[in-house]
Amino acid sequence: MARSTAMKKTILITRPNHDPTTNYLFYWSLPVIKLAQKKQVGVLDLSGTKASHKYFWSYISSRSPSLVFINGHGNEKSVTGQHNEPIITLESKTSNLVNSILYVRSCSSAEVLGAHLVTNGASCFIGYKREYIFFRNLDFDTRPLEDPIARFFLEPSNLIPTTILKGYSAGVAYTRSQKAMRRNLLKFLSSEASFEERLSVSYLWSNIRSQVLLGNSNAKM
Amino acid sequence: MSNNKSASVWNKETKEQLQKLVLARLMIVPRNLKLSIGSVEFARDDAVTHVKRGDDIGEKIMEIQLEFLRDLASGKIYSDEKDYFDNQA
Repeated sequence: MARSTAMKKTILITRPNHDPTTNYLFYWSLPVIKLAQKKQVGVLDLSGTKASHKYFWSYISSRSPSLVFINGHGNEKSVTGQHNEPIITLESKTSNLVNSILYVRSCSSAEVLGAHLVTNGASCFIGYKREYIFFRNLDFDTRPLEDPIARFFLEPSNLIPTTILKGYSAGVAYTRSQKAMRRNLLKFLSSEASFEERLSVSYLWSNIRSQVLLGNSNAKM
Repeated sequence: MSNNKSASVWNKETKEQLQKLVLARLMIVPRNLKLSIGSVEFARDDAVTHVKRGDDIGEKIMEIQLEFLRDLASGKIYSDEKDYFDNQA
């Protein structure tokens, strides 16, 4: 098959949903998918059981997405998909991630794995050095996107992929996400903050401190 | 859950004082809120149990609170804000 000289830009998103935490990330990734479709960016949506090692690397090698957005659990050396199956580890053959921008909404993966991926050719890695934290309100269990307290944590986090989808660099995306979190933080520290906002402030600060960009901040899709 | 390097150097008195502070802050969390820290999710009463036990999760919660309180008291939160937004101008 002849390759088009102007390859369609593509985002690959993993959305496991096997527990309450991943279920929330599953729903909160939907606005990113909607924006990608609006921008006519190809979307590879690996949701539920498709958020697996097999599907992930199959799509990575066949489609070479320029933006890879991973949701799930993880640690310093790996990130996981559905039912905590490891998707990327230090042993993964990362040649097909060369020149990709990765945003990993997972715990601690920036500590070791992120640097490893950038060293091995990934253009840029944005992730977290420690646990990713958020509050959620049980009253919104069946409608996570309406959860007002989760929104304070997850909306700024979504700014990473949405800003990149709009054509900006990874560095601008990181800055916008940090700025949004810091704006929320200032609000939570003010006398106008609600009770739930005041409760959230220390955890939001932890996410701000933990979020890092590794690699080329000028990388774009 | 990652290693709590800073928690391991707390002396007994510091840990006890921090536990009291964190427990007081946790006791006012409404029961309909759940906190997700990495792969672990818990409601208020679970968090209180972990902090009282002083286990890995309890120490992680205490670390988060301690870092925030230290950075607030030192002015780091506001100075970071000022430096951050000044640099964006």
